[in-house]
Formats: sequence, C-alpha cells, structure tokens
Amino acid sequence: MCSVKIRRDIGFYVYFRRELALARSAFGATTAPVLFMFMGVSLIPLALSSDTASQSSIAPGFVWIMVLLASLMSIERIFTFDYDDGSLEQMLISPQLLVQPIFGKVAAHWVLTGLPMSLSSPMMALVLSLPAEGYLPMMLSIIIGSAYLSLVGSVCASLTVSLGRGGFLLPITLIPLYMPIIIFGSATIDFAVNSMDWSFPLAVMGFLLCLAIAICPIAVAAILRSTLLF
Amino acid sequence: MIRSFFNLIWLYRLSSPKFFYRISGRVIPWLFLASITLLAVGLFWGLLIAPPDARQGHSFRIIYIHVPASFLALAGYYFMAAAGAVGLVWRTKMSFWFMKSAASIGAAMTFIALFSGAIWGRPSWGTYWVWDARVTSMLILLFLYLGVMAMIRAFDNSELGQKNGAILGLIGTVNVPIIYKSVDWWHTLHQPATLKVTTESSIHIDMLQPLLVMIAGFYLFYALAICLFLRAEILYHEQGTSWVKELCARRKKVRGVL
Amino acid sequence: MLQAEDLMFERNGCTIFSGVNFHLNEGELLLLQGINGCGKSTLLRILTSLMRPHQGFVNSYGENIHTNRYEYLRNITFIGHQLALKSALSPLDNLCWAASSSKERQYVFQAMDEMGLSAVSRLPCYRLSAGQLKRVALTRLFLSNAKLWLLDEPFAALDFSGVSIIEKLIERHLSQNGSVLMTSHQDLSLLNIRKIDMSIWCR
Repeated sequence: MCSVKIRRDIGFYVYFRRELALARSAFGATTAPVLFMFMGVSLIPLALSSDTASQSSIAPGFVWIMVLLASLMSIERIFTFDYDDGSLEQMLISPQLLVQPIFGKVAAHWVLTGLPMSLSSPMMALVLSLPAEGYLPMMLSIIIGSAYLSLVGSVCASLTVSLGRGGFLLPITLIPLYMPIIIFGSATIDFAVNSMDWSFPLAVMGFLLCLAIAICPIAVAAILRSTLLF
Repeated sequence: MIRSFFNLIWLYRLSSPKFFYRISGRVIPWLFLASITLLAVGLFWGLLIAPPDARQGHSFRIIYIHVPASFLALAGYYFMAAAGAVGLVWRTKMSFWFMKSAASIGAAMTFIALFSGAIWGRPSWGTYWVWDARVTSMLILLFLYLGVMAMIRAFDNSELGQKNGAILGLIGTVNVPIIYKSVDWWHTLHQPATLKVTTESSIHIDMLQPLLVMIAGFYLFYALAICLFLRAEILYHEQGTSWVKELCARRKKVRGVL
Repeated sequence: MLQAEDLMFERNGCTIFSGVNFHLNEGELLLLQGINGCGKSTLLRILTSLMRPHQGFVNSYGENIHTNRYEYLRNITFIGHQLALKSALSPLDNLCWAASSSKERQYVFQAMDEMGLSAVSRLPCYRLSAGQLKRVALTRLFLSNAKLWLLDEPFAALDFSGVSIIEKLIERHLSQNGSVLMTSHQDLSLLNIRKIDMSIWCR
C-alpha cells in the first residue's frame, strides 16, 4: 500500500471546484441558463408587441420570471446525478460536517447560473428597452436573488432527490417558495426605473438571503441523511 | 399537574391506531350530529334571519361560508405542519396520517374559500377574480397545500413520502409569514386606486352571532372529516394486522346475517 | 473493533433480518454470504452508518458509531454497488477528487498502475468497461488508510487478474492489522476467512 495520507478534511472548496470542473466537462452547463434566458426574452416581442413602451413596462417582471425558471430548471441536477452514481452516499460518509460540501455545491450552482445571468442581464434589458437606470439594480437584485433561489431550491431538490429527474414535483413545491423573491426582485428594478429609492426591496432580499444561508444548508444536510436511510 | 399528566397519557394512547379507531368510532356519531346541527342552525340564522348588509345587500351572506372556510384553511395548515413536526420528532405513524388527512381537507377548505370569495367578488367588486393581497395569499396557500399533498404521494416508499411531506410543510410554515408580508407589500405597491377592498373592521352583532355558530360548526365538521380520513388511513396501513382482519371478519358476518 | 448487537431491520413493515450478532477483530476478514435479497447490502449500509437499524446497535471500539460518527467514519472505507465515478471525468481525475489534492496525483497514478489501469487513466470514464470501472473504484483501497474496509461485492465484474490483485491487497491490509468486511458469492483463495451465512438471520 502506498503510504498516501489522504486528506479527507475536504469541504466547501473541494466540492465547489469539483462542481465547476464537472460543468466544464459537460457542454452548456454554464452557457445554457443564459441562452435559455435570451430565448425566453425573444418570445416577448413575438407574443406581445414590438412596441418599446409596453415592453419596457413588463421588462422587470419578465427578466425575473426568466431568472426564476432558469434557476428552477437547473437546480434539479444539483443532487440527482450524485444520488444516481453513488457520489452522494460517499459524501455522506466522508468524515466532515455535511454542511460544507452542500454549501460548496450550492455556491457552484449559483456561480454557474445566477452569476452569468446577472452579468448578461443588461443585454436583455437592452433588447427589452429597459431604461438605463434599471441596469445596476437589476444586476444587483439578480445576484442576491438568484443566490436565494439556489439555496431554497437545494432544499426542495434534496427532498425530491430519490425521484430522479424530469418530475413536476420540484417546480410545484418550489414556485410558492420563490414568490417573495420575484416580488422584491422585480420591485427593485421597477423602483429604479420610476426613480424611487430601490434600496428597500434590495435590502429585504439581502435579509432573506441571510436567512436562507443560515437555514438551508443545515436543512439539506438533515434531509439528505434521512433520504439515504431508505 | 396530575391532570396534565393524564392528558399526556391520553395523547399517547390516541397515537395507537387501534385505540384511536375504537374511540373515534364512538365519537363520530356525536360529532356528526353536532356539526350538522350547528351548520344547519348557522345557515338558517345567517341566510334567513340576519339583517341584510347596508351596502352589499344580501350578497354579503356568503361570508357564512367564506369566512369559516378561510379560518380553517389557515388554521388547518398549522395543524398539518404541527402534526408533521410531531411525526418527525417522535416518529409516530398516526401523526403522519393526520398530516396527510389534514392536507387534503385543508386544500379543500382553501378551495372553498377561494371559490366562495370569487362568487362574492362578482357583486361587490364587479369581477370574479382580483389580485388582491388576501386572495393572492390564499392562492399561494392552496399551492403550498397541493405541494405537500403531491410530495406525500410521490414516493414508492410511503414512509419517505410522509417524512418529506412533513418537512415541506414545516418549510412552508417558515415561508407563510414571509409570503404573506411580501404579498401584502406588493399589493400596497400595485393597488389600483379605483378598487377599494371592503374591510369592515366591525361587524354588526346580529351578523356576528350566526357567523360564530358557523365557525364552530365548521371546526366540528373539520374534526369529523379528520376522523373519517384517519380511519380510512388506519385501515389501509394496518390492513395486515390481526385486529383489522378480525374487524373485517366481524363486518362480513354482520352483513351475512342481514 | 466492530461489534453488531441484535440488529433488526424492516422495510415497508416486512422484517428483512433480525437478531444479527457478530463481531469483527483487527486483522480479520469477515465474509457475509447468503441468498439474494437476504439483506447483505442493507447490513453493510447499516455498518457504514448510512442506514439505521430498527433495533440494536453497532459499536466500534465499544462506542456507538452514531454517537461517535466522525471518528468512526475516519476509520472506514466503503465501496458499494454504486461506484461514485463521474463518467465525464477521467479515472485519474475521479480518484484525485477522492484524494482531494493535486499534489497526490503521482501517488494516485502509481496506485492505478498497480491496479493495471495506467493505460486508461486519462480516458473519460464513459469509455471504460464495467470491469475497468470497478477496478477504478477499487483503486480507492490503495489510497485509503482506513482500518476497516466495507466492500459490497468487490469481485463482481472483475476478471481473474483483478480478483487476485484485490485478494493480495486485502491480505496486505489484514497483515497490517486492518479488518475487512465484505459480501461475495465467490469463494476467496485467502486463508483465515470467517464466513457468516446471513440466511440464519433472515426470515
């Protein structure tokens, strides 16, 4: 036996990097949410009207709906792949606080979906002719809000992990829980466009994010442990 | 001290399916009588005797269905979540079955509340559906109920489904205040000026009395429904046990004699 | 070092096994045998602390594995039916994630060489055969310094040379006072095996 001392105190960082490496090896994991968002946005003028005034009035809400859907569609895979190939049980029996790898995985999900969506959202705002005052609040609100979506989404994803992919259960259970974020997220952009003080809804989102950071990884750890019991 | 001790023992014994089945069998006729009487009295009183509203005329009378149903829709969610929490902590099968029953009944109550609200909305707001804060919150509550119901039934392993349903219910209880507050805030933001929601803080005593009767009647009806649902769950889950087999054999014999 | 006392497990109200009692000493190999469906894998998962028995308990060095969880988990390596390999990554990358540091890459490579995998170490895992994948997963035993190995059917899908490599590996582990608990339908050529037939516990 080669005398390797395996460092098993692996935690947040290792799982964070692992997820990013896996995403790099699978085409489209990083670009797909952004593409999805763009294609969704391109439906607006086709379905509604090419009139710029009406577009800019629904732009904040629509951008947020697309963010929510993109997050919803990608959150499902956060644990199911690991559940199917046994990585999840190895994660559960590695001698570490489970919260760390979970947090690493959620953070990676956010970096792969929320962050690129936030960075590319100005382009979307441009084609929807959103006034320029809305750009910065939009990016900030998507950065904060999508992190909340990833965290809360991971809780429901861990509840449905043993059901496999492609079910309707995850969206059904998640959409009600996402509602506060979509209210405050679109309100942030709305306030900015109407030159009101947009710091309040953004602050509420920050508060919700703090709550989620405190609660969600612990909840996910407990749920995953109890799911693997069966 | 001693009394509360005895109460705990009662609770403990109720968590035994067989005992609950026996006791509920005796209680159900009384519950049935009481709830039917209260509902009949309340409806008669509210629909025929109580004076019509000064502004809304007779259309207000739908509150005798609408208000008790929304009470139970909300309270039922907490009953359900509390039962789920008890099941998670003490691993009692009965509390999971209670949760499952409460989810279905609560969803039905929420639907009744929404439906009666829509009917009421037609004469008072001029439209069946308004994205009012309370209506929206109620709709989200219905979504939460349906999510829990779907979660409970989604798994091959019913134990896992019940456990996950209970957890989802608990997550919902954390979220219900957040959702309500945010919807409330959202509503004040978007409220159209033409639409004044009628929120009487005071209700006339003649109208209130039948309402209280109806609320009591609904609560009793809720208890009755829970008992019936729970008995069905018990029979389904305990079908392999000897006491259920005995029960079925006795029923068959009685039917044979008749 | 490991002691199971009066374990009982039921699934959907059916008892899978009950009254499971055994102990495992240092430097000992315990082979669990039994017909399909008698709960071998379940018992192994109980011993990894992934599952909980409905009755009874598992002690490691006199302490319950659930109360002293992290200490216990540091001492075990579990390789189950699911190999925990990502098909898009190469075996080398997969094992390096398990070993968690790029500095140890050369050791991982060395271990793969001993498993006869050096030719495929950089191919993506989806191009490997089932037997090769099994070898990749079992390479984790080379890298492990846990005292207790829990192996679920380690020989399934392995060819003769693979089996003999693993047997040698197990022998070396036992001589270093490690212990192995495994399930297998195959007979091993090793000496000093204690066999337990699980059918005495199952109903």
